[in-house]
Amino acid sequence: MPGRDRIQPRLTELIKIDTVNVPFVRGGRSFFSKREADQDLFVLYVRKGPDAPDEVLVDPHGLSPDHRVSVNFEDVSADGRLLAYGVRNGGEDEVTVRLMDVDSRRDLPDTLPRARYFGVALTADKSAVYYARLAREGPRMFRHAMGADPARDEEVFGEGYGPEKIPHDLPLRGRRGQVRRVGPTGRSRPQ
Amino acid sequence: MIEQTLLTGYGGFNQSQLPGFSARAAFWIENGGVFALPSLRVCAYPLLDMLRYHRFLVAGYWVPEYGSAEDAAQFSVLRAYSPYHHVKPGERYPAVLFITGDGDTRVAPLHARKMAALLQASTGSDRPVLLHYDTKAGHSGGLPASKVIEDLTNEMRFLFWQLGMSPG
Repeated sequence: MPGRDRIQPRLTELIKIDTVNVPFVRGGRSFFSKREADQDLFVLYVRKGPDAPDEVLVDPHGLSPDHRVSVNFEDVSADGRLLAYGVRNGGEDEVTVRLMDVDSRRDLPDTLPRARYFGVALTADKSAVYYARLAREGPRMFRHAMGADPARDEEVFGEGYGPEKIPHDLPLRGRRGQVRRVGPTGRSRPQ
Repeated sequence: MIEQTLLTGYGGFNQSQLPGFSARAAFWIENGGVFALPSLRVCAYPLLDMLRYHRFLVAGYWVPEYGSAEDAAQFSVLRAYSPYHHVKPGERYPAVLFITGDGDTRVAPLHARKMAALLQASTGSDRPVLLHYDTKAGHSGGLPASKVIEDLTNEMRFLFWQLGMSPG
């Protein structure tokens, strides 16, 4: 196919630009992801005040030599001190969820295994994580107590729902209004 | 005057495509093309065999949206439009580029693979039927910017080549 030398430079100009996603605020701290023009992947940042510098939380460029492992925010605790982030391999829907202490930048030993998650929510006291994921039998919500074995997390909602239901950010909505929303459409749709 | 129109879209699950910046659309329009986006199915990470789709990966979750061939009444509806079941031997098909990858854990990449094979075996025209396959790419994106540029360059080269356009 002809044309590479004339097509690629212009597409590079259009795509290699500084890109910042909309920040969200927890405990007075702003959290956002940003990809600078010369970078391949989005990096997770925190800014601890309106005039404070941007601090890198998670930089995925070192996670894989071909830059096919990416990261995303899953949740940040109400006080802005505990981060839950997803690690994704290629274009898979599944992520592994890791927890990080924002001030020390240290990952906690708690890691939620690779799965298709529909919302991860840290409790205000940071003692537990609620999360929903798709199991073969249907959507299920669990509670993970910090320090416990994730394989033994307690199932708290979803029994009786089959694959005709897909959860919508179920734990997040549960936290805000005690409303658990389960509907026939959602993020596992073919897009 | 013949205008080259790039028709793309998405349909299903009550989701409409909202306007937003697209490097693909910007580049296409700069080169004199017309860009149109109705809500229709397209062929990147596609769902093509509507009779057996529900058996693979998480597709069992979409039966409330599309229906299931295991229900006799729904079978007739699905059979009537399932793209894989409408390929005819000897038909003079236009050039086609399918895009998928092993990282698509949502829509099984087998759809694009077997559709490409069937179209290649069936077409009576001399136009190419190609499959752009990436062992890591999938429905959730996750592509580094350099790879996005490379893939979009190849997509545009295919379109310019088959539509007789010259990039400027």
